[in-house]
Amino acid sequence: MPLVTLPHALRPRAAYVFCRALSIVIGVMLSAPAVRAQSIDSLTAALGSSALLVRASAVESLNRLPVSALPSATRDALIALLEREATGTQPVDPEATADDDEAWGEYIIGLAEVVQQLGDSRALRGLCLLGIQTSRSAQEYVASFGAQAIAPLREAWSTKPTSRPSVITTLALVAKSADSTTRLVVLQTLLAPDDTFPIAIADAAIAGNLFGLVPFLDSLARAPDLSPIAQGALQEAADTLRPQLTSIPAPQLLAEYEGLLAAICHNASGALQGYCESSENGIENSAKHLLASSAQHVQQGFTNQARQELEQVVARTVNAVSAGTLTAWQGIVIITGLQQVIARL
Amino acid sequence: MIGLAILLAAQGCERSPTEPSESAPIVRSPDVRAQQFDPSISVSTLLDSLQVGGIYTVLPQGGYSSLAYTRLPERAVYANPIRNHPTGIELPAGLPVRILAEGLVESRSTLAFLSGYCVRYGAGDTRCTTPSYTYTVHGLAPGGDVAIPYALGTGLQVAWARGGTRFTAPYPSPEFYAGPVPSSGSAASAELHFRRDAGCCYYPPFGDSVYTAWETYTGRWRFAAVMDDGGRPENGVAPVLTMSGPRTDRPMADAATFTLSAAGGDPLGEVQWWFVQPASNTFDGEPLPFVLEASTGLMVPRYPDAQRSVHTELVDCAGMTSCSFRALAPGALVARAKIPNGTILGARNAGAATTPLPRLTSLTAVGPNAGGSFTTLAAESQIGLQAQVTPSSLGNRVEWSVGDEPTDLVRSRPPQDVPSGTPSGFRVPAIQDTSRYRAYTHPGVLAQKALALRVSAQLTDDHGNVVSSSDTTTVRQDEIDTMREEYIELGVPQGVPGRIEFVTPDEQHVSNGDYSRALANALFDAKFARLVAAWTVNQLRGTITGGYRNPVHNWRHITPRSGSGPVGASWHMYGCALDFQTYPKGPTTRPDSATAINYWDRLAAAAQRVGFRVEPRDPDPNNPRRPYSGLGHVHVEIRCR
Repeated sequence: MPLVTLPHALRPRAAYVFCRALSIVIGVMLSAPAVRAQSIDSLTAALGSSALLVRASAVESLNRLPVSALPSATRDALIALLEREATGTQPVDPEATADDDEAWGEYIIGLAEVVQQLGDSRALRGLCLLGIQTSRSAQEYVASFGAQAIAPLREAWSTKPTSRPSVITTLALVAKSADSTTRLVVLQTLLAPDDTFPIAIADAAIAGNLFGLVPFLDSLARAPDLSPIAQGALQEAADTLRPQLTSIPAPQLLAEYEGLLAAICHNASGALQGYCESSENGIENSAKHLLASSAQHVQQGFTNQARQELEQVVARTVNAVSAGTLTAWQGIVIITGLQQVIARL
Repeated sequence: MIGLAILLAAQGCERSPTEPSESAPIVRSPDVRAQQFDPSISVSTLLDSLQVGGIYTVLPQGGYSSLAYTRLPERAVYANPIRNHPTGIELPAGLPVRILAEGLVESRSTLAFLSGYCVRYGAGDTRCTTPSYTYTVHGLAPGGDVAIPYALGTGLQVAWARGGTRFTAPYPSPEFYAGPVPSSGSAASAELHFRRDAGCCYYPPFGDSVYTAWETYTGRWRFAAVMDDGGRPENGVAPVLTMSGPRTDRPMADAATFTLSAAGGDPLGEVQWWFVQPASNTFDGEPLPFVLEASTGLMVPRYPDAQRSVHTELVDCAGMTSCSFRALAPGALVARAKIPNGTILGARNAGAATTPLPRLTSLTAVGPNAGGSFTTLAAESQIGLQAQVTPSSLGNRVEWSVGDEPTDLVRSRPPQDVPSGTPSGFRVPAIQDTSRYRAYTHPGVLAQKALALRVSAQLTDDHGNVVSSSDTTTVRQDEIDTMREEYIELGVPQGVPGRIEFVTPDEQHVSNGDYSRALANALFDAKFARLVAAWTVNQLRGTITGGYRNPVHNWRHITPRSGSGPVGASWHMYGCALDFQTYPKGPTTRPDSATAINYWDRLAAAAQRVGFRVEPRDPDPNNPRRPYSGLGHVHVEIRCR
């Protein structure tokens, strides 16, 4: 434990803090071999320490043990600790505050990793709120829970704006492997936000292999109000996925956009429901109907009819965006995608 | 340097009015005067004038006094009692010598220089002295020659330098003589400097036809013995004067008692002794210190003046046939005495040549790691100790001392016990003084961090008395092990990196640590290469702001407002983490901040795609106003151990 206790009352604050922090670090470091030699119970207890460096050292030590060796109390403590850190309920350690100090960030990386390795669904909340920000591995792990991950991801989306880019990518990973219903829900969530996270959507497209978004990404990449960094990321994602887009036959491509539209329209109500499902003047010209019909015509070889129907969907989508029924991104996804299909017919 | 001048003369004769200056006093025998002053005589003729049993006077002026090392059929002649001290001992003038025998001169290649050094005057006598590294020739007469006798095969050769004429090819060669030759007719003193090169001194290598002597002397010689070696029999012939006690042709550890005795049981008179400290010579493996002679540019061996003792008269020994005296300090002892027949003999201790004094040399203390380094890890803390002991049977009497190396700034903890004997060893204690890491200003120097232990050894006799002590040696951590020691002593959870993991920092393996090395990890490097290839925004390698950090460096950075330091478990300490600058730097406007965030997002996402872990976007609760990862940089890492 701390090796030096300095008479801080006699020292300037900065010097005291320096010495105090250093003494804690030395103490922690010197105690590390002992920590390794300590029982898992001791390490578990250290997880409750108010000192960040003590917790960090315990986390690293536990990380080096086989998961199977961790008793339930330790697992519980790790899960709870991550959740405390994620929700900001862990008391702040005043001794480890530096403007550019990475101590907390690196500690969270290790904590998220050890918690992820537990394979415990109770860890989902902490991982969604914080862990997914640290690695693709954590995102994939959360995504592997499928529908079960959606609620905590939504909580993260709504309560922690900093987590949103990671949530977007994680949702794309869910969509990649989830069942059709879950995929609908996920894609709906994924396409809901406005243009706040262009880089995240680019990363998500790659992570979720969402090649149907290529026209959308191309379009965004040309948006003049985006920074060149964002434009570059979007273009990079589009270029990455483009080979899949260009190699897929038109019918399947159309089916891809049917799926995206279905996601946008999932459980729609109000004006969106009108856009998605309602007929006008007795004519079945809802977006979903038109797309379905278009697909049928494509199958039958009636490409002109199919093209006309798709152009109608595009027109309706433009109107829906103008009316605020659809977000700009939702509109662009459908419009650019269908234009891609029309060009291929 | 003083040479040894010999003038052969009958005992008790008076000085000749034609003798040279007082600086080279000569006493000679009338019956050889005519020959001696014959300008045409050679050294051979001169030496032939010596009579067996005759008493002559040697006028040593110091320096190396050996005239010859001979094997004579009747009696051993050992010319130089102090041959081990060619430059350090000043012999008193006026030593009478006795011709002990005559015989065939046989040189020994082990002797650096064999014979006397002579000056032959064109119209005067010839004075022979001993060549020395720096020899002063006084009053060189016009036309006078300088003779440099040297050994060749079984003969004695003399090279002559004619006054006023520089040595010319083929002899002597530059390595033989490189100094000026006194000019003909010069009345002033001049110094002749002879180079002593390794393995060859004042005579050319045998069989080298390049060196053709000007005169060669072979056959039977009468020879003047200047001093007797004392107790060392030569061809079964006992010496005239003996001195017993510890052999002193090598450094002595302690004062010792010596006994001087006349071989014939005669009483001793005018006993003097002196010693040189430390005893050393150029023949027995203890080279003299060489100093540069400015006038010639030659390195010549010299005893420092402070290493010579004063001559001590042993009055109480007068009249005794054997007298014991104690050398008060380690060193080579030299003594002389006068015996009733008028001969004053110098002697040095001989001892038993076949029973060398126990000696302790070649001390080594080596750690198990490269270059003899070590750490306090159990597998790397064993220090091997070895000493060369003569005779080797005394190896079990070596006692070791290990302590902190006092010349550095680290208080290294030595072991409590070190087993005696050689070889031996000890473990460096695992618990060391970690306060040293707080005792220097960042980044510090190696002498403030590296563990180092000073080792010495002593050889004891049956009674536990020390008979020989070693010099000290130091076993010290090199830079890599000094770095690794930080991981050990500070208990970094991920463990201690191996020596081979350390590299010289470069553009990729950036070091922000306190040493000239950094750690590298192949897995990390491979991922980094993928990231670099995928990253098209800028040259990623040029944006690295944080790389390797040694553990102590991390301490410094954990301090508030002192930098960007991770915890004690940081992967920065293993070459498995990097920090990248984000752009634009230090954004102050909203657009710039947005761009910086985009940069951060894009780089973080790219890093995650290739398998890196990144710091979370969540702000550090300890510093909630700071954006994720400082916004100023993206931290990427892998778990690599």
